[in-house]
Amino acid sequence: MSDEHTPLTPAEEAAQRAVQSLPPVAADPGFQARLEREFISGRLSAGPPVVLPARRFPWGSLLRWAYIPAAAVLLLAVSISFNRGGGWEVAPLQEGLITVDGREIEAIEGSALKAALGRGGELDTGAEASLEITRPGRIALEVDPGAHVELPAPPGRWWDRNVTFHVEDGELRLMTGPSFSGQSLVIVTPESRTEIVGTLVSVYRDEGGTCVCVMHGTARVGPPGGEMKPVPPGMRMVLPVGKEPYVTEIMPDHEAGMKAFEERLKPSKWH
Amino acid sequence: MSENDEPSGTGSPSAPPVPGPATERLSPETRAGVRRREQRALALLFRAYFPDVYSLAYRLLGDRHRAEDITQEVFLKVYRSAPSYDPERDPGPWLTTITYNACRDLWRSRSYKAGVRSRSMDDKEVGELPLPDAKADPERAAIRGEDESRVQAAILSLPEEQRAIVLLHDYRGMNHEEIGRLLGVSHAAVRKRYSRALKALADRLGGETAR
Repeated sequence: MSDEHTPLTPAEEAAQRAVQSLPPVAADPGFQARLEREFISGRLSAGPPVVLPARRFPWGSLLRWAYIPAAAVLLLAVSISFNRGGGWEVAPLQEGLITVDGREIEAIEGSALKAALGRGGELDTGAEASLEITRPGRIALEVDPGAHVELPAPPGRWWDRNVTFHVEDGELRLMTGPSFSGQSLVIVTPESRTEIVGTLVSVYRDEGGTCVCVMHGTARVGPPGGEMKPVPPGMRMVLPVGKEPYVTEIMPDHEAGMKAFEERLKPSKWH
Repeated sequence: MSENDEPSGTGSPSAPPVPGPATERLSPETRAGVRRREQRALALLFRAYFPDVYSLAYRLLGDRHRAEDITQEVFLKVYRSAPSYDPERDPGPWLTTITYNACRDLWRSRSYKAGVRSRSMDDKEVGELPLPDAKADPERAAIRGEDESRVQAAILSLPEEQRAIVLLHDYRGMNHEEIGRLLGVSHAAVRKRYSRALKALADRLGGETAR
């Protein structure tokens, strides 16, 4: 042995000699002869008749590693599901026929309405129906009869939190809730863009233009691509078609509508 | 075929005649034949190295059936990788490496770990070691067999890596550097581990082997 060792104790020297003096182990002659035949002939490589040791396909190892992507996919799926939550809650305030993505639904058909609008869609409330649409704790909408609104997918809890409503016609009131913090909410009409950070607003749109009323908080409002101006509480920005926008006081009927909306939400699912 | 490799007619019926267990290194011509998977060369290789492979596997595992499984696996791998074998090199270390790696893979397997947990050191397998010279001197062979069983049992009681280092060093005659390459650790690390393993083995043997 060419290796240098620290001096061995007599017991260690004895152990070393004991191992060195171990004789070769005689194999079963039958096994040896069979293996030799198979090895030399190449039949060992071919498989049978010699039965290989239990070299099973490492399913266990494979599965152990497969857990990682599987768990990641599961986690992602669960996260997406939790992030999205249960979708928009939709409740009729007034009966009537509404249209969601071109399909007519009676406003009182709660489950059909929820199924149609839960993930957003193009909503036309028709002449009579009005709806309350909420994402509990975050956003509540009241959509009046005669409104034509593009409802976005509900905001996520942790990501994909920004939502943009497109109002083509009619009036909607929107209030943000205590869990809305940090989100971006935008309401777009052909004449205006309203950016909201925690507030209660009302947006009305007809062929003459758009009116954005701010009840609480502050909204930044302006024409699409134009200068955005802050609109304080109690004021509204009017964006008439073909004219310059201006800020003025909220009209009493709009204020009353928003107060009623706020009162209705307070004791219920909102907080 | 060199003179050392000349067959003597004791091979299997389907193979060319080869000599009995050989300790000599294979000649360059035979090693080149192994690379070409010539039956004659393969027979010589098998005869020369089968005892080493089987013995090491048995000493590492302490189980006849497992040693057979490992030996079979080793020769299967040898056959499959023969075309890439470098005939300039002694096949001994190559076979030792394959044997050790096969045992290591077995140790890491779930089925082996489960089996080890359910076995005790009183496993009679250890006491059934063959006595090569029993016919020549039965009494002495019995004493040697008893000692051998005790030593084997002590080796098997070592952790697997310590067991491997002791056997590769003292049973196989490999130096620390060669063992380090095989285990993927430094020469110094092997030296330390060998010292610990030898001390542990000496403790288990209780110094009785010094007689």
